[in-house]
Formats: sequence, structure tokens, C-alpha cells
Amino acid sequence: MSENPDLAPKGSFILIMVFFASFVLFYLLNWKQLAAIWHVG
Amino acid sequence: MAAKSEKFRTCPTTGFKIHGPAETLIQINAVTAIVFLLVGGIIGLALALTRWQAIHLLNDTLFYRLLSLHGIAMLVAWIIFFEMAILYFASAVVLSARLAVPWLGWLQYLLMLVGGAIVAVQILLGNADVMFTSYVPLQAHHLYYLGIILFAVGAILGCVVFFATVVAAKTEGAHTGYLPLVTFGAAAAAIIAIGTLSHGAIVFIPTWLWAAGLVPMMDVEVYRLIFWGFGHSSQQINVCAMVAVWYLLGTLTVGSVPLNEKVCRSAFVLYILFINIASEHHLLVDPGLSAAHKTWNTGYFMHLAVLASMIHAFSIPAAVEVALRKKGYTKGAFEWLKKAPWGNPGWSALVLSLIGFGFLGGITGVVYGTEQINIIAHNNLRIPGHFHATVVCGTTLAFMGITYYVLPLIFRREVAFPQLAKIQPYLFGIGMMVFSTAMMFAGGFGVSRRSWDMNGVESAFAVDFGPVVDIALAIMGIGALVGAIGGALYCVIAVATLLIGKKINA
Repeated sequence: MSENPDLAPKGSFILIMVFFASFVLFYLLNWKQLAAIWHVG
Repeated sequence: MAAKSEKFRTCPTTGFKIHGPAETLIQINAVTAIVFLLVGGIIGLALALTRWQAIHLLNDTLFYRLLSLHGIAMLVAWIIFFEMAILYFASAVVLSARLAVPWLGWLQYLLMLVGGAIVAVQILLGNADVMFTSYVPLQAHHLYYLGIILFAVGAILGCVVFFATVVAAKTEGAHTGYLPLVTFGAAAAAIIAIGTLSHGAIVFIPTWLWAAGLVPMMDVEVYRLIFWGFGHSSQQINVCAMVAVWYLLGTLTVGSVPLNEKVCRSAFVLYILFINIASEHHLLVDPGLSAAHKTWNTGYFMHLAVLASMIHAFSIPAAVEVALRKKGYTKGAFEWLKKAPWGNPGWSALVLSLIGFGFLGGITGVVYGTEQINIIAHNNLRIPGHFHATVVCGTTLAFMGITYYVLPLIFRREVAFPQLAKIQPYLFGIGMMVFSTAMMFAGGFGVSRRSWDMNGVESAFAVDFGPVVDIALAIMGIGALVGAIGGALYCVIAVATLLIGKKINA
């Protein structure tokens, strides 16, 4: 990675964080749906 | 020696030395792939218009028959023929080396073509209404299995030619030092392919003998276990080849260089070691396998392959961002993205492929492959929604993007209808993203996959999913129509380039 701060891939870092957030949200929504459909106990 | 050197030409743009037999084999494999894409695409549109309940185009027999053919034409024929072209490109062309044993390359092509034709004919004759998975005890005509075996053996020969070419390039001094990343990625794809296609041979040879009446029975659990070593792993070849193409597109479109090539290579090694294990998620509802087996494979090992995808998911955008920042687009976090060459079909295909594969296909694949969640996703429309996002929005779009570079480089023709080429990736990519998303949304309501009669009107357990699902399936159909226009444009541009494209003199 370049030491020049202008060349640091800041935009990609933000996009990857959006990707991770989407991942977590989708994962939670699916667990929530599973919990709603399949009651345990 | 003189005759040998005459078989090479030098590309004036890239400087690659291109071996004549390699060029011919790349051309013929790529053209055949596009023919299968056209056939499979037309069938795919008809199937989508059947699942769109307001249209319901095909009758039940034709629906299941064409669904079988769609799976084979798209998931196997289009993708693997194109991958053969990529293997020859990534070895002989990228290394500027001679293609080793060209006759074996021709044998690869003939076996795959004959095998693919036998499979297609058997399906169309109604002798193989067994769908893509052909789960036993469903039984097709024995020639169907023979066709798949011939196709798989042909593809293995293509991998052998690839490795022989790499070895020849090193030993004859055509290439020195480490393999370029693209070739390394293609090598990873070829290693996975050999394992995958061997699974195909192992499972289909006894099934062929069983269908011919020479073997008394097939074990359904063993069949499913080994089948998915072929059925899903064949899609992992796509992932590997697609990632290699992403790196190549990044270089060709904006001149990107991976920020840390060692890390990228390590990610490919993770694919080789762990990606086939992801196939186990198809067996999560199978009673014959233990919970521990399922959990270890899909809860632990599979995520090491996911880690590899995460590495590529950061590495490729970061590499293209740095390349664009070096061109002066350094304002804020996203000036580089605004100033990117959005009119270049190679670039737009790369970006849409990354988004479609990562956000739609990748996230959903990992979540649906989780053992607990799988129980609410298994065999409903979420699953084809997921894999259309990976294989169509991801792999197919990436292959379309690289075609715009292969046409001038290998076919020596300027791309015909350049204005249409600019919009083609958008139509195809966005259309298929809408299609996949709507499909997964409908699946969330429990709509089953591979079903002509989703409401079970003719069964004892009729289900009314309500208007939300009807709207979702209508949106799915509209997405398919838009995507089909984009796919048709790709075929028209490719064929027109070959027939009327302006010749480029080397």
C-alpha cells in the first residue's frame, strides 16, 4: 500500500464496511425469520 | 525452428506473442460457449415467463424438460467452454508461450462438443427429464450419462493442456519468474476443475452402468454426496476463473496492480483447499449425514473459502482505486469512482459483476449455507435467486466483460456496435440483479423452486401465497426480460464483430 495519503484506498474501505454491514443485517434478518417460523421451547 | 516461429504473431497493443494453435482453440471454445449461452438464455427466458404466474408460458412437461436443458447449457456448457478459452489464454497468451500438445486441445474440444450434444439431444427427446441434479432413483437414458462423462473427460484434458503449457513455458524459457496473478488464478481454477470433474466421472460412470442395466442399484445418499462434489464444485471453478478475470479486467481497464500480490495468491490457495467443502451445504437437510459432519464443513471449513473471497473483495476495488488515484482523481473518498471509465463495457461489467456476486450472491450464499438458516431456504426460490446472482450477475457478466478485450486481441476485429456495447453490461447486469433479488424475495415466502405448479393446484395441499408473491414473480419476469435483452445484445455484438467487425492488422 502506498505511503502517499492521497493514494490510500479510502473509498474501497468505506465500500467494504457497507458490504460487511449488509452482511450482518441480512444474517440477522434471516435468524429473526427462522426464530419467528420455528419456535423453540 | 523457422516453421515453429511462424506460428506466432505479436499483438501490437499488448505485446503478447500469440501462438497460432492457441488462438484457434481460444476462438472455437469461446464461440461454442456463446452458442450455448444463446440457447440456454432463450430457454431461461421461457422458464422465467412460466414462473411469472400471469403468463405461465410453458406446459408442465416442457417446463421440466427445458429446465434440465437450461441447467446443463448454462451451468456446464457455456461456462466450461468459456473457461477452456480462459485457460488457453491465461497460459499460452499471457505467458507468450507455445500451446503444448495442441492435438490434445482439439480432443478436449471434440469430447466436450460431442458430450454436450448427446446430453442436449437426450433431454430434448424426453429421455432425461431428471433436472440438472439427476438424483437417483430418477433415471435417464444411459446415453445422457455417457454424454456428461465425455464432457467431463474433455474438460479434464483442457486442464492437462493448460498445465503442460505452463510447464513448457518455464522449461523452454518463454516465461521466467513467478507466474502472473491471472495465470496463477487460472491454475487454481484448473486444480479445482480436475478434482471437480473427477467427482463427475466417479459418480456418473456407475450411474451410466446402472442406467444401462449393468449395475443393479445406486445408493442415493452416496450419489448425492459425490454428485455435489461435481455439481457445486463446478461452480467453484467459475468463482476462481471469475476472480482471475476480475484482476485481468482491473489491469486492462484502468491499469490496476494488486496492492499485495502474495495475499491475493494466498487467497487462491484458500480456494483450492476449502472451496469444494462448501458443496456440503446442499446436503444440510439430508438425514444420512451427521450434524457434526454438516457443522464442521459448512460452519467452519467453508468460511476459510469465504475468507478468500473477502480478501479478493477488498483487494480488487482497492487496486483499481489506487490506479485511478494515481491518475489524479484524489478528491474525497469517491472522486475516483465518479471519474472511472463507465462507458467502457469492460469496466462496467467488472463493477456490476463485483456488486452482483458480492452483495447479492456472496452474502446470500453464506447465510443460506448456514445449517440452521438453511432449513427455511432449502429448495425454495431463494436458492436459484442466490446462484443466479453468483453465476449470472457474477461469472457470466465478468466473462462478457473480458470478451470485449478478447475480440480485438484474439479475433483481431474491432468490436461491432460500440455504442450498444457500452450499454450491454448495464442491461444484462441490472436486469439479472432485479431478477435474482425478486426471486429470493419470493422464496422468502416459501415459493418452491423447480415447480411448474407452485400453488399445488393439482395436489391435496393447495397453497395461496397471495398478491405479494405474484408481484415479486412479475418483477422477476421483468428483470429476466431486461437481462435477456442484454444477453441478446452480447450475442449480437460478438457475432457481428466476427462477421462484419473491422479487421485489425497485426
